[in-house]
Amino acid sequence: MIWLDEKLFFLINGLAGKSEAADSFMRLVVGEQFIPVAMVMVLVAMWFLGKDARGRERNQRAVWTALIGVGFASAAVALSNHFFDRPRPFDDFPEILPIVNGLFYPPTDSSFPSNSAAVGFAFGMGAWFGNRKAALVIFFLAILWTFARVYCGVHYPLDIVGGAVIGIFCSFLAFGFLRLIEPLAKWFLDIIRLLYLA
Amino acid sequence: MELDYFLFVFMVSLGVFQLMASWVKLDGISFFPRRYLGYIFAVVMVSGGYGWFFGVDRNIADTAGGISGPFLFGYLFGALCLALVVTLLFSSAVRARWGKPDSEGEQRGLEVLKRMTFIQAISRDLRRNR
Repeated sequence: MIWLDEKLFFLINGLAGKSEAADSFMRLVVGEQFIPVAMVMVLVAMWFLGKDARGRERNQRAVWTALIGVGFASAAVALSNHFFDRPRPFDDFPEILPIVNGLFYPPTDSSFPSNSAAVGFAFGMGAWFGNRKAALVIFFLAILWTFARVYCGVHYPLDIVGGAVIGIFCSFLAFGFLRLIEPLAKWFLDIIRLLYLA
Repeated sequence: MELDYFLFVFMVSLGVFQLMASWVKLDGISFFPRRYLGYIFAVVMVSGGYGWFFGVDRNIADTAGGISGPFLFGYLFGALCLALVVTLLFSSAVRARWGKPDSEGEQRGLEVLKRMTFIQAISRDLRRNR
């Protein structure tokens, strides 16, 4: 498994340094600002969408699911960092450190699971409960973001898979949580509606 | 870096709010009398925001002057809220003479902002509850 993971890592990371245009693009999307802000903006757009009041409410509940899912996913990754301490690829293979330094900065926390994957896929899965087209856009952004993390040498592919599983699971958990506290969720949306914001 | 990030999210949010105002026909929160102007404004703000912010390298570790995760979330939330407030107040100011606060139709939620501005809707509620 680890052997396959490392082989796949070198296959993707080996693309770095071959094309200046690809490197510049990956340098742009690998960080914590470009894609996360785009994902949040998709959720903002989703908040307003819906053919009627019911459709809009479904979207707005999905936005809440995504946000709570991301909260759960971040907590789960922070918790898992107490149990897993997988070295980053550039720690295992110092020869790739110049590539990492050229494209990103070397993070110091555990490589497994990937926080970016957990956050990205939690956003996507949460959105899926309301608007599949918007969710597909977010999933595409999540895949692009996590691919860039491997390309730039800060994660192994297995870290991404682990993070994605956590993110998806946490959004299901958030969906269940919102159902569990149902009267509260509805009251909360009703209050926002009274202020003409939902 | 923090202020840049805040301004970046603010610009992009303002653009997305105008995009959705035009798309969903929420004229009460639009800055413009014509919907196509809302689309143009959105393209300018979103592409301008991204272009300006990422014109320099932003991949900086939080230990070296970058922004850590919780602060990224805080600034994002703050900028988004500020953009919402600016959208509601500015659209209410520039369209003060436009709305029909006493018209029939949906009385709650976003739908109301298709017929009147945010301030007109709130004033209507205050008048009714007086």
